[in-house]
Amino acid sequence: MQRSRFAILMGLALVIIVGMAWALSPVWAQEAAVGSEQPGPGVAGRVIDPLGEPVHDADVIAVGREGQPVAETTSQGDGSFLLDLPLQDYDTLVVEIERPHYVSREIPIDPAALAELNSAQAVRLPAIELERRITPGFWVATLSFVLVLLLIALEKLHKTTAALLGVALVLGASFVGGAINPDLFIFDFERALSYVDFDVIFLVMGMMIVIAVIEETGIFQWLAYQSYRLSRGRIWLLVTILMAITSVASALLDNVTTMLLMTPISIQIALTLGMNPLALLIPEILASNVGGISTLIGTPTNILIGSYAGLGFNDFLINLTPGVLASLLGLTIFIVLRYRKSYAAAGGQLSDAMRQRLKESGRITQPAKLRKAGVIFGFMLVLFVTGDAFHLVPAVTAILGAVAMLLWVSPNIEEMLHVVDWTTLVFFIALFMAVGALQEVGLIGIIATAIGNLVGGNLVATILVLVWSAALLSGVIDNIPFAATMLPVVAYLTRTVPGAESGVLWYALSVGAAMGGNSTLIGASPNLVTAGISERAGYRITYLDFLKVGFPATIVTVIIGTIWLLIRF
Amino acid sequence: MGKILCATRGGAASRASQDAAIALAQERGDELIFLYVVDISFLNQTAAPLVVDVESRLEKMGRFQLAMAQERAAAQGISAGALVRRGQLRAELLAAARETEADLVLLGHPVGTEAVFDEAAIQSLATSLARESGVKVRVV
Amino acid sequence: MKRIALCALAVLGLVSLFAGIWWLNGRSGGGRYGTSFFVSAGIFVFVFAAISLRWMHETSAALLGAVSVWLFHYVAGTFFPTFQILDFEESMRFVDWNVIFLILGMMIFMAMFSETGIFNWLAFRAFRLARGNAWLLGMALILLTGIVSAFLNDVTAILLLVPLSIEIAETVGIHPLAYVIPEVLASNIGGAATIIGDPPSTIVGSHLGLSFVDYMVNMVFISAICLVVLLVLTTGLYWRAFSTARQRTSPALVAQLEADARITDNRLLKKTALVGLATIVLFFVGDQFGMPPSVIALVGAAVLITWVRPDMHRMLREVDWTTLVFFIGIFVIVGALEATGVIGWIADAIAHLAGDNLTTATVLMVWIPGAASGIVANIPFTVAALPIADFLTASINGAGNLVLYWALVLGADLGGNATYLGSAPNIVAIGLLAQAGYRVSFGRFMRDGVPVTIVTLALATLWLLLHY
Repeated sequence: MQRSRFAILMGLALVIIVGMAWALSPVWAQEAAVGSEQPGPGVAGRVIDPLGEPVHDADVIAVGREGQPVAETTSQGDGSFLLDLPLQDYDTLVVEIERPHYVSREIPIDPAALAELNSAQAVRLPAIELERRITPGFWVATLSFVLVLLLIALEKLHKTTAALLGVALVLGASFVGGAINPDLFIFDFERALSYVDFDVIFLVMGMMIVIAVIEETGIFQWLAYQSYRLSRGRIWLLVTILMAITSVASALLDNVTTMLLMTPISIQIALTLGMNPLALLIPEILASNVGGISTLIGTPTNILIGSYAGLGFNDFLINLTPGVLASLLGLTIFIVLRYRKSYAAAGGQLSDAMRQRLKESGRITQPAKLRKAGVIFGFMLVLFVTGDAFHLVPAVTAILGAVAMLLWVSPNIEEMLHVVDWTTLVFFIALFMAVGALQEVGLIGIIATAIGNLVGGNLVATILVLVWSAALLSGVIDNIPFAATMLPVVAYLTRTVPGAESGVLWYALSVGAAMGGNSTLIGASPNLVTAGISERAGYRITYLDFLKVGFPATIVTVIIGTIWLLIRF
Repeated sequence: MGKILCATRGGAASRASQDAAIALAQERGDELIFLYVVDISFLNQTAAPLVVDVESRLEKMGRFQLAMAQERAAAQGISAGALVRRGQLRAELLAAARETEADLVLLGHPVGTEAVFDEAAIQSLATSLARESGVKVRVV
Repeated sequence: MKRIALCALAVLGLVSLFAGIWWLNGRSGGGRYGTSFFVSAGIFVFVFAAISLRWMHETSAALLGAVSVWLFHYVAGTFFPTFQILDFEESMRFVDWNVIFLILGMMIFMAMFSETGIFNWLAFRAFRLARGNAWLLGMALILLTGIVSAFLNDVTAILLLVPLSIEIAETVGIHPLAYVIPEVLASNIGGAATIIGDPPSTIVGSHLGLSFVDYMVNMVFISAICLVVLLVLTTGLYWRAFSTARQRTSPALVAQLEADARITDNRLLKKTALVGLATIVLFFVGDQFGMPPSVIALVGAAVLITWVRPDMHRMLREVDWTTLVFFIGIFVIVGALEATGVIGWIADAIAHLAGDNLTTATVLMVWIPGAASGIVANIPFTVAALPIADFLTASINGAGNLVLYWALVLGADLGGNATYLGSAPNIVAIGLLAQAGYRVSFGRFMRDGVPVTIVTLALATLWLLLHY
């Protein structure tokens, strides 16, 4: 009661603020500051790397007579720079451009341009290309990254610890090593931070809170129970319905969460039906990985790709959903055929007592909460879809939903904030920095050029190479670091391969990385999470068990996915 | 022979009620158990980084407070038990009363300026406790 | 009812704020302040009130504020350009990530250190060395708290040391308040000594891009003096209690005390101490490499967790990550104030008041935060005061030696001692005392807090004026 009154008052306060502000705004419409540029001699230009990417933070120095520096600046984010020169007579002027991991260049200004400078006019230089240079810093960054991947793949360290260690190595080498040998310098902390995509961090954080609230309501268990009732004992139908639920849920929620919610009830259903739970769980895992591809918020890789490439919620929906649906259909057919024996062997009918127990655990625990959470979630979906119009980034929508959930639905804020998996967020931040180091030293550029040469400007070949290499590799290494590493590569390919302007390569990466996660047990995090829970319940999913179903399923779905991409674009 | 459960926090303000509980136990020949409840909800207001396992540290402090109370009882020739629980005071008091099968729960009157609860709060706690657990509750 | 009254008060305050600004604006010729000016000011005042009056958890208040900024910007700003404040990207630029990562790194260290039980062991050694002399013991405990809170976060120092101090006080037969309240005061004073001591120090130090050493050479002297003054004042205030204390507990209880204060994990202690020491050394030499403290803390923490390999789920439960969100939220809200010109407006007013006189400005910069942080939350206050200090430093002659920033740190840290709402350690310590059955009233805390605050603030002012 207290709280709701409090909320009303808070709302009232806000309304008053807005009201007053609105009433007063015509009186004090903000005057736009009119900036006037001072004319004077100057040299403007743009620094790019061999791939045509802008080079930021390069030191640009104008050196006059007898090696005296006259002016200096650094290049901006788009690679451009503007040297403001003092007004004087120039008879010789050289522009020096330096940056770690690049070959320094000196560009003499020709006499004609000097004359213009002397008459107080600005000169524009043609684009300046800096060559890459392999420095000791390159090896430090690359080896640190490989070490991180190895430590994660071999499960020697927790993934957050491993990623933090990698960042510590790179930063340590930059600062301590950089003092001894400038070539060891990779980047400073500011630069490292600029590689962190805070859109992703806040999007993941917000969604974790939102999902934690929804989960409390028991909606997922209810759905599972309903699906059992609907199937009326026909197991292949039950599996199909469960897979459909899983894929829809994982399109809207995070895959790991979906599997966390589905696993317990699926084990229960399987046991009451007298069948091996793995025959339900493995299809569900596969469906969740595939289903997640269809929306921006469905998988971490999509969140990464969407924020990086600036793709909206709708883009994913339009360009990927039909392909995903086709893949799911193929997957379902494959699963039903693959497991037909064990489905046929299962009993199908249960005693009343068993049914009663299933009904008990599949009940919605807090209907009032569910209604509120549903309203907020619906509102969030609307914002996700229409947000592009406001330039509303998904992160803000997610945080907004999270705060609304915290204030309206589940007031136990302390507990809710504790359900956020902070180590995952720290992992993301550290990983972004580690990949940033690779970008800084030029490794990403080398990979991109290699792939670019391999496919030779052919769009179809690029798509094929990207989808299949992504699918195969993300079976071996976790698909999140893989996708994060590939983002700059795909950005380069999108720019250079003719016909890729439609963004098809982003979707190719998304399809390949997410579906490829199905091929092995360590390919994606939902696989590992489900295996963990199921093992605790006494049913171990071994690497081989999973491979036997997962690998062929991956091939089936990736083929369908590739065909869709080729048709769509 | 019955059981008396005496909820206490320690501190100067609760010594009087501890003494009263000891006297009562002597008089009735009952078994006496002191209860301390660790409640860290007071930390929920601040966003300062709390990295310490506060609960277990406070549990140690609670045990220490109870050991002091037990010594006071021992001085009167009573061997008292001690119980530390974590959680919200009212709920834990109720649960402890059920678990120990106590037939009398003692709460202390607020004494002096340092008492944590005021009289009204103690009385309302006592009545609601008596209603829900069916055990006699006395404020001493 | 009380809550509603508070809300009504807040709304009234907001309305009068607007009226005041409107009036001022009308007088100064107008045209400078847009709608977003008022919206961001209103959001800040609301968050500030929510935190100071404890309407809701600090983190949710900060998060709510940040979301309101974005909501206004995106939804209202799309239709009415005057509603635009700052977008997500821009607001991320206002967040001082050095602060965030410094705190993150130190939190990991603290979580490891607190597992080892080393500080309790030290406190118990003090108890043994004092041999029942209550005064000596008190001095030792206060000093220990001051020093620990200079190198760890001040709240952590309190959480670690206060429960044991209460036990020790009861063992030597002295009223626990005689130890705990001076300890709290010491933790606030000690926090000013180093850049990692407490949040205001971290925020200011990182804003200036200072290294650990730069910060320390400026602040450690005055903090030490204030700590000594605190010892003297404590002796005076509690002389009766100290001289009449007598031990009245049995050896059995002392044995239990000893058991509580044992070092719990020797191997962990060795590793943590080694990495901690290396990190401190790195803090001192890192300057040579231009390494910011945040990177050092992060590198140290990464090495530590790689070596110790703590249970990550345990770390999750014990490390309070919400702190980081709280800081991010506050930075975003203050960023909105800066972007819309509210800060500039206040800075103008203060510059007008100080009138280009450095002495006046310094005195104002110590005493305004000093008085304010007794009543309101000092973290948002410090973040908001920083751009004002920037402005004044740029506009007043001779302020280039950063004296105004030191004034701000000292004001915010020492001022927090005045009341028990002043800073986080105070609130936590009061809660811990209540758990042991000792309620501390508002007046009771002020009886010790106010004299100490006034004396230390006066000393700080004197020192700043003489030294700079």
